[in-house]
Parts: sequence; C-alpha cells; structure tokens
Amino acid sequence: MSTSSSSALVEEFRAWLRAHAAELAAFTRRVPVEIEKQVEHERVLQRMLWDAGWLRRGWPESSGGSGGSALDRGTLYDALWQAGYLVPESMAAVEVIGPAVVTYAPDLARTLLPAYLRGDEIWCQGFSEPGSGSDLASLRTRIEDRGGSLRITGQKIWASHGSFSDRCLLLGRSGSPDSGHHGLSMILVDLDQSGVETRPIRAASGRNEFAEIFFDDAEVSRDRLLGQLGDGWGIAMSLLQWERGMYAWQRQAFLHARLEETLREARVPVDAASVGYVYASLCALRLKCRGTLRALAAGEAPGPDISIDKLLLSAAEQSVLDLAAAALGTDFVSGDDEFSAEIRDEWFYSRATSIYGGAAEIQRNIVADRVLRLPKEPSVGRR
Amino acid sequence: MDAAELAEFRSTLRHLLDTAPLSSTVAALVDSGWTEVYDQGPGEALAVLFQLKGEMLAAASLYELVAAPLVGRDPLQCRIVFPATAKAAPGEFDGYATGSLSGDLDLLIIDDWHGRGSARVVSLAAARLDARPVNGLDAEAGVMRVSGSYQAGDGLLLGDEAAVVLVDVLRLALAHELIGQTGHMLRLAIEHVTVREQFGRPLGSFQAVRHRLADVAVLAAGAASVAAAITPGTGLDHNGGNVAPRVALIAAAVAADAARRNCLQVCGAIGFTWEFALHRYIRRSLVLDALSGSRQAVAAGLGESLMNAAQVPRIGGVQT
Repeated sequence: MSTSSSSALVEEFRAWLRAHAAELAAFTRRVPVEIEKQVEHERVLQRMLWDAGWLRRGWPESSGGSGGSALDRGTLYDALWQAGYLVPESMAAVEVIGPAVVTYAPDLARTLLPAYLRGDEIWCQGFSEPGSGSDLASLRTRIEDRGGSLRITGQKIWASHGSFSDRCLLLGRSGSPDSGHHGLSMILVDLDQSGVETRPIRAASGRNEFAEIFFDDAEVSRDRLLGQLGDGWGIAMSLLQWERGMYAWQRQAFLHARLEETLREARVPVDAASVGYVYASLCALRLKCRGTLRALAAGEAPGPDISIDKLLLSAAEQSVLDLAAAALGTDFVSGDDEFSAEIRDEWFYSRATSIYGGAAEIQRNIVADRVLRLPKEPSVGRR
Repeated sequence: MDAAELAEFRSTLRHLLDTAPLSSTVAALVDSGWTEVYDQGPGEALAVLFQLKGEMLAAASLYELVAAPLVGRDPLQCRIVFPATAKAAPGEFDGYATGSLSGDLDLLIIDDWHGRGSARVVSLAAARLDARPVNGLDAEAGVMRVSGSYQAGDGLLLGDEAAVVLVDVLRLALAHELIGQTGHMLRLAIEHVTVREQFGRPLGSFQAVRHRLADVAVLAAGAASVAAAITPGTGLDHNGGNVAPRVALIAAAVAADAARRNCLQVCGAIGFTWEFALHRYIRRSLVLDALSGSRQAVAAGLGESLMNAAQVPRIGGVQT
C-alpha cells in the first residue's frame, strides 16, 4: 500500500484547487434547496472542472476527453471530496451512462456525449417501470421497428433527475411480449420531442429526486440505438457494472467526507466504538470497490462478486448517515439550519441505497446463487 | 506469486501445519523457506499462512514468526504476550501467550493494544512469572495466561516505530486468521444447507437461509479486501499506517461475529452438537477476539483516534 498523495495527478489537481480557492468557495457544500436549483448550481462547477481539463481526464478524445485511464476519473473524484469540495451530483449518472455510450454507440459518443460530459446537458436512465422494478426483465415499454425509425410507447418511472433531463437512456422491449431479457433494446431519447412527457415525483425527502416519463408513439431515429436491436440486456448488465464500480467509488469518497464532517461538527457526544465500526465498514467498501474499478478499467468483467460491492455500499452509506443523524442530536428533528436540513436530505437518500439499482434482497439472491452456489430457490415467478 | 505458485505454497503450508509437532512448527516453517517467500511478497505470504491457520484451527503459535523479525528478534527465541487487561500497572503485565514458555526466551510484551501501540522486551529469566494453561472456552487453542512483574531496569521499551510495526503485524495476522475461520464456518454451513432437506427442499433453497449466508459472505469479502491492501512492516509513514490494520481487525471480527450467529442458526440442531465442527470455530474465533483485545475495545480505540484527529484517512488510492 502506498499513499494516494504520491500520485502526480493528485498533486497537480490539489495545486489547481488551491490556486482557484476563491472561485471554488461556493462548492464546499451542497446547497440544500430544490434539487433543480442544486443541479443548476453544480453545473457551474462541472463546467469549470471541464474547462480546466480535469473532467476530460479518462474519457476518450473522440468524446471530447483527453484520453487516459478511467481510473484517473476515480482519483479526481476522491481528491475533490477530500479537498472539501463536492462532486456534482449529476456526475453519478455520467459515470453510469457515459461508459455504455462510449462502448456501444461510438457515433453518439462523438456527436452527443461531449455536451453531457461537460455539463451542458443532463441525461437520465429510463429502466424501471411501474410493473418492473427488481424484476427488470419483465419491462413492457415497446420499441417498434418501423423501418426507417423506431416508435416508443410506454411508461418509465424512478428516473433520477428525469424531470429536468435533456435526454433519457431507455431500456425497452423490441421483441415479443414474452421475449424476456432477449427482446430488450437500449436507445437514447430526447425528452423535449413530441410524444414524450415527464412528471416529477416528490421523494420522501421532499425533493423531486426522480420522475415518471410517458412515451406515446414517440419517434426516434435508429442511429440512437446502443448496439443493435436486442442487445439491450447485455448493455444494461455492462452498464450496471459501472454503476457498482465507479458510482460506489464516488459514494465512498463522499461518505469519507461526510464522516469527517460529522466528527468535526458533532453537536452531541458521539459513541467512539460506533465511529470505529462505521469507519471500518466504509474502508471495506472503498477497498472492495477499488478492486472492481481496477478490473473494469482493465477491461475485465468483475462477475457476480459485484453484488457484494452493492451490498457493502448500502450498508456503509446507511451507517454513515445514521451516525451523522445521531451526531446532530435533537437538531436532526428540530434543527432548521442548513446543515441539519442537508443531513436530513442525505439521511433519507441513504435509505434508498438498498433499493435502487437492484434491491439488497436481489443482490443477496445473486450472492447466494452465483458466489456461494447455494441450492436455487423454487423457480416460480423467476426468470 | 502466480496462481500456480500460490497453490503450491498453500499446499506446502497445509501439509506442514498438519504434520509438524506444535513446538517445532515455527522451526519447520523457517526450514521450508518461509522467509524467502515472505520477503518476495510479505502481504500475500502472511495472508496465505494465517488464513490457513484459521481455516485449519492450527494451534501452533505463528505470531512470533511474522512479528519478531520486524523488530530485529529471532522468532524461535521470543514469545508474544497479548494484553488481557486494558492497561497494566508499570512493571507488571497480565496477558496471553500462545506457545510454550521454556528455555532461553524473551517476552515481547504488548502494553497497549488500543492506541497506537507500545511494547517492551523482558527476558523470561528476569521476569517473575505466573503462567497457567487456559482451558476456558477452548482448551485446544494452546493459550497460556501469563502475568507477573519485572524490575524497571529489565524491561526494554521498544521504540515508537518498532512498537507500531509490531502491533500492526499482529493485528493483521489476527485479521487474516479470523477471515480464514469465517470462510470455513461459511463452508460448513453451505455444505449442511445444501444436503439437509425439509419440506421436500434443501434448506439452502429458502431465501431466509440464503440471505443469512450471503450477509456473512459480504462482510468476509469486505474484510478480506481491507486486509489484502496492507503490507506488513510499513510503519507510520504510509497513508493509513496504524489505522488500516485496526480497520482490518475490526472488519474481520465483525464478519466472524456474523458467521458465528448466522452459520450456527442455519445449521439447526446439528450445529449444536459436539460432533459437528462448527462449535470449535466459534470457540477459537472468540479466543482470537480476546487475544486482539475485543473488537468493541479496538473499535472504540480507533473511533477515539479518528475523533481526536477529526480526520478520516483514505486508505489506498485507486491508482496507488
């Protein structure tokens, strides 16, 4: 093990952060207002980091990046949080959607992706449906092949940032209704076009975290497909690996910063052993998903083990935010200051980490089946 | 080591732990070229040895083998004394040793497990010693309770850096041993729930059972990732030095605790019999918890040092 500060990239980045401390001061903490305003605010930081070349690192030159390893991106997110700044919340989706577009739609990566990477646009994922959550392969939104173009009809739900996104990466059914995961396709759809409507969903936190998106015979050009018709499931699985890998890495970077702030800002005495246990669960997440990220960056498939990362993430995130909530004392309930409000938002959001992107129960099933190789559950209702 | 070399190294060690008499296991390891393998990759070698020790419930004291050379001592001529009480009075000690206490030995007495670590060397001849074999929870563990005193002039306090290196490598070794035990408890439970049927189905096909075992596997994998990131003997100047081994120990102890609860539960009545091996692992892992100063106290010590520093070290970068 050697120190992360030995990395020249980190030293260079930290020097830049110090030199621009005045402009960056607005980004030392989240603005606990409506999510729409938060995302607008953070886009300024995203653009600043892009223009200075930092966010170009690790993305291919053909997508507006400056090349290099995807691990450079992980190093920078970590360093940004460690220096006391936030990583724009929309970068989470960038890290999930971006790699899939680069790998499966090189033309879109050249023409459309740069605007997304530099923060000019917000994109969202349209996977879940009212009838398809954990059971994703049962989804029913139709992608009809009309020769020159494709027509989309159906409803998506729980699209994070969906109500103010410019485009949506949609997983839909191009095969027959009973085609299971073989009949799925993935396509990038503009949300301002005719036949598409979005409606925000107010989350338990009170924020419009996600949206419903309605498609009524919406026409989309074939060149918006990722891969070919019918490739959707495989692409979704590859994309979910990045969600487990880089998204989890971003979250652990945030959680280290959050834990540090909790220790500094505690308003009531905090139990020392709880701090030790919480920190240990956070380190386990960090070092497990570091291995996953390295495998992904080397072009290797991490396999079913990646469900372990997802479970470590939900456990660590919930335990850090439980500690942060406890450290506020009564202010968690009755504090009307900005910091209390921010912790409440994050605490609520942390409850969702064991639900989104494949619920913890599904991840445990996968670990039981494919890592421990336990006898299968009865197949009733399972594909 | 590549995969083939690793497998061969493992099987050599397994054979040795199986066949060498307890009192000469360390000597046999030294003769078999342990030091050369360790020098090539200390982290990996230590992981293989102590995970095997945990998996096989080997009682041979191997702690001296990895700890003594780091503080310039001969593993065959010293004995670690793990503290049994949080803080002994000056000139006194009360702890556990895991091997025989005879001959021309130096005692390597750990004074403080929970902070950064401090340790001293006292020759067996100079110590007024009361030693008794512990039957307790696990008579097969080969643990001695040793207490006594020494003249102030007879105790050589290890330097700060040496004490940290010593305590860190012991924490890391115990973490790997717990990980090995956890893996074996999980295997025992998996075998049982795969074979045992109720309601016309294997127990392991019931989701409640599967999820309990998945939870153990997740904690064990997390602990193994932390332990694997640590190179023994690196001392204080590395990011997370002195913090990372404590984290590894806590994560491994938490995983072992989950294994004790969940594996025992899914093994049902069989798990509660003397014949079924699980109780031996439960006993030994609780012994390790005691040797390492109890996970609760280790966690509290770590939490306190983080709170005092108001800093949360990032252990290991993604590219470094």
